[in-house]
Amino acid sequence: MTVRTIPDTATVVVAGELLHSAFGAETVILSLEDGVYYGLEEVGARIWELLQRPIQVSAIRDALVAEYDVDPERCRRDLLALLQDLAARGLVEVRERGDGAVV
Amino acid sequence: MVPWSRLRALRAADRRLLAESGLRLVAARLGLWVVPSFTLRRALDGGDPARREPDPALPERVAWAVGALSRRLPGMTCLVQSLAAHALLRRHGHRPALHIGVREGGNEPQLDAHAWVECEGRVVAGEIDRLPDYRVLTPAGPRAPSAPGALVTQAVAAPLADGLAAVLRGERCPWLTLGVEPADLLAACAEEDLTGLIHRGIARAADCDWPRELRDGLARAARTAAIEELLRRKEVVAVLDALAQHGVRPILLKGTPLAYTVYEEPSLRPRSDTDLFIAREQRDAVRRVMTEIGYAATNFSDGEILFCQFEFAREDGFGVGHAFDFHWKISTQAAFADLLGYDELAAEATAVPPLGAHARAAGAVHALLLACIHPVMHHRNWERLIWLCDIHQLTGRLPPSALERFAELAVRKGVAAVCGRQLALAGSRLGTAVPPGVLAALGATDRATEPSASYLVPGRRWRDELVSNVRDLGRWTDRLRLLREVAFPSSAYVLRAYGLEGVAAGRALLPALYLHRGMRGLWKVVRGRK
Repeated sequence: MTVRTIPDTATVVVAGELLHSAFGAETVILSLEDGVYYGLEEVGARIWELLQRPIQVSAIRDALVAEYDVDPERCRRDLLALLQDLAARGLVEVRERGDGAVV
Repeated sequence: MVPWSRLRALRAADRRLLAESGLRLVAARLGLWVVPSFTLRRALDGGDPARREPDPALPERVAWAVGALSRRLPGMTCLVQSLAAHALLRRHGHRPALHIGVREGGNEPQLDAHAWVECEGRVVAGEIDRLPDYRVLTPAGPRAPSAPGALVTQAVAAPLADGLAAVLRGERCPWLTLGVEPADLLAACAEEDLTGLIHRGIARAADCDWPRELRDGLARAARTAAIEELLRRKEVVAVLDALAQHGVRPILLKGTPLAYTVYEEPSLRPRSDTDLFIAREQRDAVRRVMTEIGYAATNFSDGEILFCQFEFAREDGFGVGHAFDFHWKISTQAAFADLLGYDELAAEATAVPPLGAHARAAGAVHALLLACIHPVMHHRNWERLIWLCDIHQLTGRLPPSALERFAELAVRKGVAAVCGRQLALAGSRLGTAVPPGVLAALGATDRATEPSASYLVPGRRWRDELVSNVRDLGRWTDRLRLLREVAFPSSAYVLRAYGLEGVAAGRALLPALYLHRGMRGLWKVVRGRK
């Protein structure tokens, strides 16, 4: 799947056929489509929690900056990298503001 | 020395105990001069604890005898006393725990070590005022069996079982004290359904010295269990939904509801199946629904009195097996079978939201009662740490008033001795705190009046359970029916058991199959394998 750069204004949400659960400080995710499972560690697990409802990329970044001691620009870069990775694996849907198109 | 006149005034049993204690103290003292303590402990302890009904008053009497002699004999260190008391209690059917602990030596730079023995919730040897200051270093002792299945059925004092219990209690467990290879420990954790809890325990330990490969292995296995749990939960929700559509509202029992109600995370409580309690008249509807949604019946005996349950199973697209056991009595054993009925369980059942809108579980008091009697009524007192964890978790979540109600229920239902023993066991292995009044209420019951107490005798076999079952069935017609179900199960069951279901010649072979099955069973009983 080709994934464009995700803009801050995009809305992101977890994709459909997934099961997930807390595992200590991690979150484990199982894709029912292909049976592949993934693990997200502490901050990733928090992002996954925020992704349970459609949320703007900028809102996720703001939440993380408020909760963790992290430089906002570094946080934005790492967040976008993770979201693109998740989108490439089909674990999240990315919708552009306005047209609702899936990237 | 003990004056002769005072010795003569003692009961014969106490004189015998003094003599036995003296022999063991002397043997321990002499032995410690020539061999390491763990070698000596193995020699003094012998094999498994004696298979006899332990006398609940014995730990106190051993404490008296060992204490009295140690004050009068030279060289009776705490370790000598502990080794002697430990061996003595095991010989009389108890399962004591021998601890070796250290504490910081105050202003002195060295550590101060101490040995003591605990049994049935009390310190039997090595009792000192500052005992709580000591950090337990045990397990120390003979190497654990490499076969994981023997982990807990062997002796509770086996170092591996002791070590795992220490981790579950949140205590430090130095790697070298375990005396096993990493692969053995991984296999034992899997066999005992403790992988998740042990992984969690060592992950939280500040100074765990277990090998990196072992910790990584535990983490991988625990993560896999968490993934499998996702699929199990999905399946349980789907099955409960399907049953509810046909008016069947089972009550979840044992592992599955506990995983979702009393454990931090569901995958910390693995189990091989999901137990559901149904009303007897719902059996046909359940069979129909389970078949419709792709499940197949497991070949269990279909005896009404003998088994009181049936199982449906299937494998999902990920290769994970799902089995659902449907019970209409809580036990196959007559002494326990009618302890809790469907209506009584349903009256206190509580919702389990993570398992869907139709999930409901036995109430906490009933769940604790079931957790206490389960290992006794179905597993011949098998002391499994995961089952003690269930009791520990449930007990910790019940307020004192509910625990008092639990004790009252256990007395009223005739399982006070069984419940008292299991709570005491959880206390000694996992540090489960039980209000003294609750233990007193359970202990005050006269064991002889409870038929269920006979199930506490160590070393019971299949034939003992059959005899108890026949004895506890109230009516002769039921007794005869049970014996008929044991000797002559349904032809469908026998044909399936011999792989002849649907085979044309199968029916003609039935007499020979029954004869072969009967002779094989009899041989197992005669050889003591059943």
